Amino acid sequence: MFEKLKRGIRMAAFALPIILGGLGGAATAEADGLKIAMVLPGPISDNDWNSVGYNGLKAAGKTLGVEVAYSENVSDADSERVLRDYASRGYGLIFAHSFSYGDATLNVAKDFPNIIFMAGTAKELASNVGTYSNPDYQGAYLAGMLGAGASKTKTIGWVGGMPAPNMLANLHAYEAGAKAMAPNAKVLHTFIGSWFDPPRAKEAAIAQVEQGADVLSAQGVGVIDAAIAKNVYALGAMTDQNHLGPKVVLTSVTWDLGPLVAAAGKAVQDKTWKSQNWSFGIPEGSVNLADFHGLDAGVPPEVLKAVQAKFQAIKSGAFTPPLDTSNAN
Amino acid sequence: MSATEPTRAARWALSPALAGGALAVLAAFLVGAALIAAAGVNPLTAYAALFESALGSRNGIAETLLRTVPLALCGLGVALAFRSGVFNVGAEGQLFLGGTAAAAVGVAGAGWPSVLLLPAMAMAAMLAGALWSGVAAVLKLRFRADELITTIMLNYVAIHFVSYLLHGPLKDPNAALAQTTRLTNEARLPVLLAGTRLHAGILMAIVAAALAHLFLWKRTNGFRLRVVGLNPRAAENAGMNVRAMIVFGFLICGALSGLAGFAEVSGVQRRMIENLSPGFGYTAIMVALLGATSPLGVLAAAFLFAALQIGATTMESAAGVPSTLTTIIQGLVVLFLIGRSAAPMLRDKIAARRVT
Repeated sequence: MFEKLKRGIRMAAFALPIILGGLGGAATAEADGLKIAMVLPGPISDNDWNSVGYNGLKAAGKTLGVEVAYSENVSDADSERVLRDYASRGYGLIFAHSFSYGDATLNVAKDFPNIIFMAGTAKELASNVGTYSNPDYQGAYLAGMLGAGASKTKTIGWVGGMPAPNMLANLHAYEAGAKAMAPNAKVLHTFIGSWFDPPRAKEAAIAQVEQGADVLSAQGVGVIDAAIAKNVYALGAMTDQNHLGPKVVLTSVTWDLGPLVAAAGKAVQDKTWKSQNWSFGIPEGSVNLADFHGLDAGVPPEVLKAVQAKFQAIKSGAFTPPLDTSNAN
Repeated sequence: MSATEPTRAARWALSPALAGGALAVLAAFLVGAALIAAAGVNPLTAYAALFESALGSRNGIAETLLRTVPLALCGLGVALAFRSGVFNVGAEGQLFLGGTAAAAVGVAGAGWPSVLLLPAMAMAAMLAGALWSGVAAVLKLRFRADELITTIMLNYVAIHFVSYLLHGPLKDPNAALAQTTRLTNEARLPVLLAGTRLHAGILMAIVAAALAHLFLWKRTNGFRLRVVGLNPRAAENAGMNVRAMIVFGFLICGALSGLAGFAEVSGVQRRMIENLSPGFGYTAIMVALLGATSPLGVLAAAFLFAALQIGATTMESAAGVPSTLTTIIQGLVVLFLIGRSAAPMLRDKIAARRVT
């Protein structure tokens, strides 16, 4: 209730440890050429969307040997200012790592025609604004198969943030995968209406367990806590989230943004960059299933085999998971 | 002007409240420097990065002035309310409602010329903010409910109500996000500095500060407002309408905060969005305190806090000092301001104990 006020009056004591912890905000490199920046909507330590972005940026910086910088926890209202700041400081490639930064990116891109922008899962592009999608729906299909196969109740859950296109794609692929494994499987889903609201995600997940779900797809922070509390399986997302619940996180659909950031950076350096949708999924090696950390013992072997076979089929191009971004009821 | 008589400007600068503010800022920066050093960074490098980014370039100055607008408008509102003895901390909610009203009028009036549309949006915003603040005024005067509590509570009600509107009736049907339709060019405040985002709202803030200054020091009602704030009983005995001045304190705070919402929507975001404000209404309380509730002081304090906030991001990425440091500095400024008045209070207490 008083959180906002607290943030307003800003207790010094609260922030002191952060300072003393000495969080670094910049990584520097020697090269004088291309500099890459990323603006992120949440904390880079979320083991989720923002961690993926930050890890990808860092890895690409190392691969290309270029300077990278980032700003985390940037609100939509503030995103245009931060993007503009990077553009005016000579960053040649700027990643706007949120669906909700689309407008702001287009506004800034208009004033900086020589700078390349990559707006995550954006709908509207410009000659210097490309986008990159998060094709983790390919992994979500496998997660749906795995979840339905591991479920005893044949009811599995899915809790996500907001009904953005990439989330809808994830949900529908998860449903399709579940149905492919067990045609009678029931998939429950909840959009909590926020990208980061752990208590709400946890409550939504608990409600699904109470409706019979015994495997949960964790498309937001808080779901794994519910899985621990209710002792059901969770399927992590974005990074290997097993450490958040070693006994319940069966596996995670991971997304490695590094190759994409590096490829875009390389294209900007080589002047071959094109405004388009950059999509690196399972075939490109960017989307994977994380290690099971021994929990695969609790899953029927034929289920694991089927999931593994499907993964290979997607990788080789023999099978394409359905991409469906239509609204969910 | 004789040699012994300081000029008006000098007297203003030497006024204890403003000197105290400057001291508090200086002390906060010194403590901040110690914290930066503790984090292993040279404080001068960090501060240089901060001010370089906030004031060292055309874009930096534009962004700093841009952020000054909501801080100054809300700060003026809070300061005038303080002057009338009203501790209105509801600027945040009033800003949200003002922004929403402005966007609603802007969308409904699409196609009108700017000369009609912009004033209509501004009026709607001020009305919405004032009405919301008026609720707290009624609660105070009618039910003796402390405005410190009610205005905070009303902030949450307002922000959730706005969220409902943006998810429901006011939502852009073509967007997945909770936001209104994008405003047409006629509904946007003109940009003052080409290539930047600085819009005409800064002129609004300056005019508002000038008017508030004239009102407080040159108008009978301004005098009444100050007297009511300093000593309501004396004001009552002098035949002043205390209730009317208190109501005015509430309404002007709401109107100015609503106007800040209009500036953000029309000048910056070009639509109403959730999380329109990163706490402008709360930072405005610090701005009002640092500005010693004098309108021109508020303007200066708003500029300083704006520069701090704008520089913070760059300081983070360029010098490796977390942007939360500026949050700490802002907090320290207030602590030192309060601490300054605590010292004589403590002294008086000790003196009183000795006497008895």
